[in-house]
Amino acid sequence: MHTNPTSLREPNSKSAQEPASSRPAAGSVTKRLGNELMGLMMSGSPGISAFPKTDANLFDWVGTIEGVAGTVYDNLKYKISIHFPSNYPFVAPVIRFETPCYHPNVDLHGNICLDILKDKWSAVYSVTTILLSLQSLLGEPNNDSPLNTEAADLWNNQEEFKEQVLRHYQPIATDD
Amino acid sequence: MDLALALAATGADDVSDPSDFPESFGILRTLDRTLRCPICKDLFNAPVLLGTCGHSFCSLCIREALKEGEKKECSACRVPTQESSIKKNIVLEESVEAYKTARSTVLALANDTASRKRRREDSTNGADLTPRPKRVKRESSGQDVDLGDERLEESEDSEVEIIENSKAPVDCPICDQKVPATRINAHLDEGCPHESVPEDKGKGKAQWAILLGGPGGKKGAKGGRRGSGRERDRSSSPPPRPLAKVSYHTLSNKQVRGLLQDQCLSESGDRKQWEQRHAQWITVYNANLDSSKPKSVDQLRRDLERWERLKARDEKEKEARVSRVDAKGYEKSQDEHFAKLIAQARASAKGNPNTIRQGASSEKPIEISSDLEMEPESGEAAQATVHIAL
Ligand SMILES: [Zn+2]
Ligand SMILES: [Zn+2]
Ligand SMILES: [Zn+2]
Repeated sequence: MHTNPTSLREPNSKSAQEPASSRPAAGSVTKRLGNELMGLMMSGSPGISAFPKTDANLFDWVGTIEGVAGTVYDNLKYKISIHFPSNYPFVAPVIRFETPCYHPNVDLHGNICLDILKDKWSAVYSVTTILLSLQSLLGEPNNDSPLNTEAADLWNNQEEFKEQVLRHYQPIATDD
Repeated sequence: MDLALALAATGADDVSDPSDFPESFGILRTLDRTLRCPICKDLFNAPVLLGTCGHSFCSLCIREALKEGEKKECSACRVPTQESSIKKNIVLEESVEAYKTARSTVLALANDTASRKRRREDSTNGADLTPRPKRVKRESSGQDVDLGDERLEESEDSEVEIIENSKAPVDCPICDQKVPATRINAHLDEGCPHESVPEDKGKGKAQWAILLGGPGGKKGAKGGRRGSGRERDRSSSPPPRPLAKVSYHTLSNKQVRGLLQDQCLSESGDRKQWEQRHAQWITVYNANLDSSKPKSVDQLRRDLERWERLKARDEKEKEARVSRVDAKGYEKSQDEHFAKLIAQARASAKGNPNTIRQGASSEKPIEISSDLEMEPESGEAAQATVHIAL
């Protein structure tokens, strides 16, 4: 599906005529990610966060989502991974739950079924949009297109559902 | 706490954000936000209007969205559209260009005022404070204060105050000289001549007058800045035509190479790369036509090369991830200011329990199968991907 980059001209060779000061072309994914990080930090939306995993790789972020009070996910904090393609934001990022999440629209590997990450993606969406959508998906699953059919069937029995949620849940390791 | 200010201080200021403005200047944040493209979140660059729904984007942003997206629709409202509905948004471009020129001035004034306000509230009886009987004191409550209302109450008072307190002239956004605010438009129009800052006691008033549309601002508002119309006068030669889209699948290899040759583009790589290169060229070329300050075709070719390098790097990176090679060697080079940004954000995030700290990355590496690496081509394919993963 992806082209093999080895047949490309040496991608790292700096062409001599390129002015050192020139910035990436407008719409550069780097700049957009910088804007998003700033927006996320400044918005201070409760219960969500995301950050580049390492300084060296801007395209892989780690985030957290906290369950909303009044849902079975209340007080639970989930870790997610976010990978941005080079043609982001024109193509959606790839998002997975890293903390095991028992949910009708999340499979056992953490893959998520959410329309805005698939065919309903739009370039105007941002990490903030996605995290808020995931947060509300926790409390309001779409049981019509489940990835975890067992969870979807159990949803109407909230007490038993919560038991399953807690059985699968693993708190995010607090290292150091 | 204030990431934006910290960033500005480190010089990593080409990432700008509405939150650069102090919290107490909510209306300036709003103004800043409305002049940003909803796709790239940056100030509009060669803005265009979609005739089908009325939403505006940078020309390049919406063209990329229409090229990369599964459906031809407005990114903001999903109303179906197509390239032919893209029209230059001239008034918006003029507004944004004027705003870009004014932004650093406005920002400096806002920060200046905010910090002076803080200082005055901190020290009840500072030596440099002349009593202001009519002054309405405001608590810096941390929430956005509607300056619109405040201005009605206080505008006169604010002006008076600045006349006496502000010693700071305006930094020219082009040449960084200190320029009297009253001269900034003329200075820019004259192409940044040397300026000697006069001891103008009234300059603070003029600064605010510019912002509030008072007498000092008339000249700018009338379009003094638009004197750059000189450069825009392209009536002598007919405007270049946009390049037409191509259905590559009907063409032979030789014909596709011919298309590249016509545009003086590289013929390296395989057929797929030729097509991607040519399609991207059409996108950036046509977007450039929507700018009133178009880049040279040579510059566009360099941008295209850069685009290909980034793409190649991303794909290399993907391969590295799939084979789970440590991404340590990942190129840092062009992202240095971003690293700085991250450092700043990390520092400011300390103590925020919602934020993952760097330590979190030392956990087990995230494994992603090659299936997941692919971007969903359609809803169906995406579903399939999800089910067969790992
Ligand atoms: Zn844009
Ligand atoms: Zn629209
Ligand atoms: Zn200047």
